[in-house]
Amino acid sequence: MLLVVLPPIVLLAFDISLETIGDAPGIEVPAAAAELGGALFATAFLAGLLGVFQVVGGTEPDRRLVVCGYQPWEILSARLLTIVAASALVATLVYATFRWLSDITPQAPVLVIGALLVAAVTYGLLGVIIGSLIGRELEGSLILVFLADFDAFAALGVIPMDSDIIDYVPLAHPHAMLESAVHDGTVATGDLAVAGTYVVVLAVIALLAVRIRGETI
Amino acid sequence: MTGRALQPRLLRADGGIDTDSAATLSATELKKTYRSRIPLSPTVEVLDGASLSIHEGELVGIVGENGSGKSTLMNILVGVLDQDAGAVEKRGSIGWCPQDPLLYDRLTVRETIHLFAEGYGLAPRQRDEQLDWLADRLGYEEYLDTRIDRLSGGNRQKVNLSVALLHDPDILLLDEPYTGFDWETYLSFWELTEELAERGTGIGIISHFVQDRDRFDRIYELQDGQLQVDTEIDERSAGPTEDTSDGTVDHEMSGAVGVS
Repeated sequence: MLLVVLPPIVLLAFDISLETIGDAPGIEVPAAAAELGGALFATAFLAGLLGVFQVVGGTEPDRRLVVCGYQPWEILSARLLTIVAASALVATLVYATFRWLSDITPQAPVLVIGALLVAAVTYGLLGVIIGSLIGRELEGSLILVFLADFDAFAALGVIPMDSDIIDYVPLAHPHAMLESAVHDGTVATGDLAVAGTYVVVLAVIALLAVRIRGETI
Repeated sequence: MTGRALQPRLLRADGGIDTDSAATLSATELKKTYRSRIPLSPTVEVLDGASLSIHEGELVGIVGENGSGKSTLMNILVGVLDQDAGAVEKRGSIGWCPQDPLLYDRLTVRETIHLFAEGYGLAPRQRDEQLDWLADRLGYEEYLDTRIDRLSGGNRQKVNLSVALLHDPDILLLDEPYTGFDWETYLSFWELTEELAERGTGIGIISHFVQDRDRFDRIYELQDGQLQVDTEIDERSAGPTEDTSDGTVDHEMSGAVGVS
């Protein structure tokens, strides 16, 4: 239900809020910023939630599967595949909502979905890390919504922020990929490489976090 | 129940369990300390040289105060937690029933059994026979297509126990397995346990119930990180115990177990 209901609500909320922000002196809201920002936030938040729920209450029975005879790599692979599959579902649904609500026709729809998929996998893994560290669904969800919100807004570059941290937020490069795919029909190799590096590093951290959580339960 | 052929219990001439034979499961000088990764948080030493053995056909009780480390001990015996020192040796397959039902909430009972049966390597026909038998024996046939998170606590515990019994293991390790059982299921559980022991399954049960003491061949008490044999009973007696007023087994009714 959340997968279907949340994306249009978020896109509309971004549309309304950025329209208001755009009225402020010195603020320039780029074309499609609301739609792109909303799409990014909805993707990140939903995928992150799925990541949190994967871990909190989900990995404890995994130990029992190992006792029953499953190999740890089989269970780990299943979890990773679930995150990727869930991310693909989220990216597709958000893209469909984006096309429904937006007047913009993306130059390269496949690349747009690909950029959203990268954002989803990034935040799915972040959700796994947050879930492992916090261990509670409500607190993990709250951290996720604030993180995704700040990240999506920072990546948009709408609000002037004099800080280098903006270049390193998880959605910075997926946003650049998304914008480029929508307006230019291409994706910069550099952005793809950096975003891919984020995914790999987060995957390693997520594996460690899940393992450490398993040892302390 | 399908699975292994009937095995005679290893009884001595005087009727006791032959504990001189090789143990089905043995743990030697287990040590475990939980070290906090956060500075200034306490380090907790749980096990400090705990040793026990469970033989074929033997029913062993493990008792101790709350927080004494019983579940930690069981997690080490099962293999889901690494010990800091000591050794665990097992001969045969393990069936583990943890204190908290480690089940996937969004699966139905049937899906849960299918998932774990796959891990055990059970053929579909054997799996279905076991499921029918366990559901009938423990009384949850009507809930086979109900999601785990929609079961009552008692029914969830029945499924938890069923996962441990599904593959007819050589060693059964049960952590307070009858929490939330109604009286009839509680009695059915003990009948089932005795049948399994008669067939040669070595069984270790963490239990708080004083009334159950006479059911065990041996009882270990975990205190100060070590296991002391509380009593050795040559023949298990399974006399009737008192019913509770609401028909359920009360987890808190027993009080402390005395050391003989």
